[in-house]
Amino acid sequence: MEVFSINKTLKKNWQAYLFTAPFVVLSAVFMVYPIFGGFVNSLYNSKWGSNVFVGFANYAKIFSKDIYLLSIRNSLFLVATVVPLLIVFGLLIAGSIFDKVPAYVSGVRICLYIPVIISMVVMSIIWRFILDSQTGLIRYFTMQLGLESVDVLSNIKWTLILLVFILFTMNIGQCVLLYVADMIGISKELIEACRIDGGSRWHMFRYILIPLTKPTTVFVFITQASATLKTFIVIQLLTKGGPNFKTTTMMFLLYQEAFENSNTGVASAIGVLMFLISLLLVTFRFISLRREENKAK
Amino acid sequence: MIKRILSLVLACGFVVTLAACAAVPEESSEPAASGSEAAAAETAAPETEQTESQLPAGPVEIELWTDMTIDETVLTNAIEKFEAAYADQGYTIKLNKFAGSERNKLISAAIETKTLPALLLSAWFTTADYVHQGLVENITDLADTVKDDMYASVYNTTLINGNSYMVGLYQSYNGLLYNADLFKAAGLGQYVPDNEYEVAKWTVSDMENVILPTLAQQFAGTQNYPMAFFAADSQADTFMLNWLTMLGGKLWDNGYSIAGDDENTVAALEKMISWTNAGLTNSNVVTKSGTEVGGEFKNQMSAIVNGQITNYTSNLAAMEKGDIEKFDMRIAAIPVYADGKDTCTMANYVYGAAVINNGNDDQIAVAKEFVRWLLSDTETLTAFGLNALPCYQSVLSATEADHPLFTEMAKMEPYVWDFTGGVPGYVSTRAYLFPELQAAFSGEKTAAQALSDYEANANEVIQDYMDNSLVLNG
Repeated sequence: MEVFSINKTLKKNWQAYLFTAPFVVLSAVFMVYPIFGGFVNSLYNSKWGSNVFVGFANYAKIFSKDIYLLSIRNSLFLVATVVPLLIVFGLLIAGSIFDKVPAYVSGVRICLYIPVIISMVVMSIIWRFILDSQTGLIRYFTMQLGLESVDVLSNIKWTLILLVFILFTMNIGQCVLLYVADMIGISKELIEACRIDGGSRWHMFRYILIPLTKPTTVFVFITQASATLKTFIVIQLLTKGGPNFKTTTMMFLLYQEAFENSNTGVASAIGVLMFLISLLLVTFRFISLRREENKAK
Repeated sequence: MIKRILSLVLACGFVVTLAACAAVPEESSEPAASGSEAAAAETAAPETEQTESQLPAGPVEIELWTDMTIDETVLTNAIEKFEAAYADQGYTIKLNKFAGSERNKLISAAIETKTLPALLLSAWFTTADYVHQGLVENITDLADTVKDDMYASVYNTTLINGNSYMVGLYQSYNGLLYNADLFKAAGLGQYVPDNEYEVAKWTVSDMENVILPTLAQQFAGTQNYPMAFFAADSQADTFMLNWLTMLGGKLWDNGYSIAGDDENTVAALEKMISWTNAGLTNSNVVTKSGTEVGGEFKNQMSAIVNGQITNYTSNLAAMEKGDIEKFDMRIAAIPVYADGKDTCTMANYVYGAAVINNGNDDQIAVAKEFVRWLLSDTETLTAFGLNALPCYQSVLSATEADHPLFTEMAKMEPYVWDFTGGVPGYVSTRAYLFPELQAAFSGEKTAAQALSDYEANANEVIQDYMDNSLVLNG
């Protein structure tokens, strides 16, 4: 009886299945298969010419060596700092400009979006040009002013904070753009009602903009958490993971293990851990959102 | 009917996808397995002269990968001559020349995708790592045909467990390159030898008390700097290793690292850091790479930089072409003060040809034939030798008169050292040197702590190679 029902549903919706089939097949081949392949690979060691099954030894290595643990800590630190900053400032900037004259909104959007459309490589080179303590722009001006040169890229206390700032400036444009688009779509009557009731700008933020842009916040959280976790180019070009692994992230170490040390087993294990961390973050965000929605109901 | 066919195709697609997901990697990848087998077989019974009948029937195309700093026409001419000589067999070679900094990435990717080339022209110290991984063919039979003519130091360098895995094509001493024009402008003319090819031998005291401070004074108020240090990555790491020996310290002993235990090595690192803190080198040592400082030297932003003969010749060629402004570029040795005496040192690189076990017997046979042909073709062998220093006495004798640099370099042979210590896994130990140098230069660790931590990590790597190397345990 149940089989009959499934057949009936399939027959009824066959066009829909046909349209989604290419995506399903392609994602199975290029996403699901690599994920499974990566997991299987993480259980092997191929450094010495043959694939030797080592069970979870690659994972044990990751959780027992300081360098790997430091890279996990750094990656989580970046996600925990960059993503909230992007959401908070994205909301604040978008909330401040969305109801201004269109020309002004466009101008701000263009200025903030330029770093997003410029290649990460170019942006990293520009930052290097500014910050380099020997040949950089800051060094030039400090020299002209007779001041001491500051080497922030080599400073073990500040390099990671600097990285947070750079990632923030590179991605804030994307968040502002999404929030502005969402806020422009909010009914003007709601905003007018808030004003008529004597609500301040903060009240508008608190009771209209933040609640109504929640879907955008979830989207920003998921995409930016995933992108920040995969940060590579900036580190490769600015700090190369240094000084002394202080800015080494999981993605950077994955690359080093796979392409510099030929340890594809360990590299795959790092990849699997990154996948699990992303999955956890997304699941956590969805659960908390669902709870908030249920509370509101 | 159409619906059923479509459903069937989709279902098949999913089944195939899931089946592929469940695939387990092969227990043994072809190159490695046959590599160790081939090595074992060749050790037991070295091949005799390969006759034409043993060569594979063509056409066979092989890939030649190289990261040599060499005029590309030397390579293309060699390939053209080989292809012409073996036109009847239909052997062809596809060249892939890339920067040394790309080598590890390309080879690692090729191992994973099983697309390794059959021929690799590179430095021995990097190729040795692939030998331990079972990727390089034993070519003792080929190397032995030129053993009498090849310098013993070159021949012995390329041996592992008594077998040869590379035939040397040229060698290059690594020390300092300096801008004699900037020296003279700073009033340091007495430190520039009259003979433009003579390798300058300064003392540690000269460097510390006269040369570097004078240059620093000359460059005051500019972004230029006297001498380059760099610790961003392992590119051109030999230079920093050279300096770590400036007070007579040792890095290796008995096949293991002793960098942290040798007080002279620790003292050398302390001195290097004090030079940087005093403004005698660039300030951004932690984030500077060997490649970048080379470019800055060519743009005359620094007076002294690391360099080997290949850099010297390629810089001269660039000046001739007009790619960079001409200046009086010279070579100097690394000053050393040991046991109360001033001396000097230079590291030696051997560059040569290795046959890679890519799992394709025909390609391996043609690659070996190329090496055999190369060793018999005097003109090509000489062209390679002229890139830096020849590995063969016959080539040196024939070219010495026209190349006065060779005579001067030959005088440096007693000062040359093996920066790898001959330890298995040397290339992988480098991954731990630069983070520790960064820690020392950024003040996070003392020189002693940094070198001690490096020693511990390096010895762990060496032990891993000792335990797993396919040629040491094969």
